[in-house]
Amino acid sequence: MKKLFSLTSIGLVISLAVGTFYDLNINSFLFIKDNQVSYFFEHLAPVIFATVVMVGAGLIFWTFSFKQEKTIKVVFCGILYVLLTLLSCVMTLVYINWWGIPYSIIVSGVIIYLIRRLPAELQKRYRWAGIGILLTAFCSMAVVESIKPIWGRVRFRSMQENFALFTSWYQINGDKYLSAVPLKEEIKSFPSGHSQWAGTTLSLSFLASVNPKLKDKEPIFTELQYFVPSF
Amino acid sequence: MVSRMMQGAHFLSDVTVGFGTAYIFFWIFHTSLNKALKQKYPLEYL
Repeated sequence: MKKLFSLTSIGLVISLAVGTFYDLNINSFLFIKDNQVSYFFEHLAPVIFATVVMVGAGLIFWTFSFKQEKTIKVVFCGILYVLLTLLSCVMTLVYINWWGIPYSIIVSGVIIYLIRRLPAELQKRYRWAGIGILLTAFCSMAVVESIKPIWGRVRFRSMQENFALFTSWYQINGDKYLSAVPLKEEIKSFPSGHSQWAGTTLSLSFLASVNPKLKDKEPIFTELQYFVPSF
Repeated sequence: MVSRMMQGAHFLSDVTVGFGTAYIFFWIFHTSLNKALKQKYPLEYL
């Protein structure tokens, strides 16, 4: 895992360095207006994030052997589970409309079924994995969503008629360009929330971390997760 | 990440920092989880 962490860190630094100098050129080359493939992935990323949250929420509640645990602990985790599952359901509703309801119900059911089949001696460890998944998802989301309004970077698609609106990623703009764009959402380019949502899928590898039999396969499990964010 | 750039919604630096933020927290909690597992079950997680 150390090798994988080092390689990813180096890759991210190189990518940021390239972006620092060639952001505008790269986007001019890649941009295809009303691209259906990108619209598909725009709607897929939040659904994946919602699924990751459902997995984490399921793990913190359904790993309890209810008769042996303190009532207050079970009730607290139960409330948290319901709230997070509802939040995930609303998120899928927003992005894939009414398909979000059957999707959330089926996925929640499958998650509960799979968790209840976990070996009893590993259930507590899987609860830790669930906590790790939720912390990764919400801590990173809090940071990204806090930075967006402060940075106020205009999206590439909103500067098609005026490239003077382009700023480097390290430049803090606040509301400076708000009057130049039709919606406040259009000055929230930096950092990408969709990439952060997709990036949280990496935390699913915690499921391999906590199982001694899968521990050796953890790097493979993590590498597979890289496919989701890259799209 | 590539699809967001194709849509013109984000620049390369935006997707790098967005993904990087999730990656940093993943790394932090991965390290903490492994440390806790090694302390609690030293024989199973050598």
